[in-house]
Amino acid sequence: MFGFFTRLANPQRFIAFTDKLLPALVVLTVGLTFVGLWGAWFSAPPDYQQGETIRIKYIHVPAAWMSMFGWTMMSLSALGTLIFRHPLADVAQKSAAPIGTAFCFICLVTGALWGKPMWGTYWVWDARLTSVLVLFLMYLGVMALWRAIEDQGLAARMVAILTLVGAINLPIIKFSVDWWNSLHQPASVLRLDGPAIHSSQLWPLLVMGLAAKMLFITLLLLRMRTELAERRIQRLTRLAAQEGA
Amino acid sequence: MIPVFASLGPHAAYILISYAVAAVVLGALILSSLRAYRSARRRLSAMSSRDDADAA
Repeated sequence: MFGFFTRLANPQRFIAFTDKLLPALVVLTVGLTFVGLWGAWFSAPPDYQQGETIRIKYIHVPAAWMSMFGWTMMSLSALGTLIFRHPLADVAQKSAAPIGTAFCFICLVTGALWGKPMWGTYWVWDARLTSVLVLFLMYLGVMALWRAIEDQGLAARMVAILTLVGAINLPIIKFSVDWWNSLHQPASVLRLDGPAIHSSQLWPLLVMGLAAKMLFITLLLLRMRTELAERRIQRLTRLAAQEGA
Repeated sequence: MIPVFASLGPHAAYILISYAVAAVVLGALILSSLRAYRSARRRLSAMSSRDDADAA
C-alpha cells in the first residue's frame, strides 16, 4: 500500500494511472447515480412520519458524508505533505477543497429545506448544524489561503497545518447529536447497533452514498491532473523567462 | 412534471428545490473542473508545440 503511493509520487506515472482509471470511474459514477436515484424515487417507500419529504435524505446524507470525507482526505494529504513530503500530497489537498466545499454547501442547503417542513425552521444553532457550518467556513478558509500565498510550498505547509487543526471538527460533527441536546436526529446508519433504517430505504441511501464517493474521487483525480498541468505551465513559463533574460 | 409534483405531498417544493440545488451545484463543479482541465491541456500543448518549433 505504501509502495503504491510512493510509485504514484511521479507525476507522469500518476497521469498514466489515471488515464486508465478515469473512464471506469465515470461509468461507475453515472451507473450508481442512476440506480440510486431510481431507488430513492421509485423503490423506497415514503416515511411513516415524514412522508415524501424523506426523499431529501437521499442527497442530504450523502452530501454530509462527502463533506466529512473531503476533510478526512485533506487531513491525510496534510500528513503526506508535512511528514512524508509526498510530491502529490498538496496537489491532492488543493484539488479536494472545492469538491468538499460543494458537498458541504449542498448538505447545509438541503438540510435547511428538510428542516423547514419537519422542524418548522430553516436553521437552529444546535451542535450538529453549527459544527457543519464551521466545516463549510473552514473549507472556504483553506481555499482562500491557497489563493493568498504565492509561494506554493509555503501555502501547502500552512494549509496542511490549518487542515490538521480543523480535523478536530470531524468527531465533533459526528458525535454532536450524542454529546448535546440536538434538534438534528441521532445517527441512524453508522451506529454500533447497526443501521436503524429499514432496508427498503437503506439500500438507495448506500448506493447514493457510493455514487457521491465515486463522483468525489473522479473529480479529485481530474482536478489533480489539472493542477499538475498548471504547475508544469508555470515552470515552463519561468524557464522561458529565464532563458529570454 | 405536474403529476410528479402533485404526488409528492404538501412539501413537494422543498423536495424538488433540494434536488435542483444539488444538480446545479454539482453540475457547475463538474463543468468548471472539465473546463479548467481542457484549458490547462490546451495551454500545455501550445507551449510544447512552441518549444518544438523553436528547437527546429
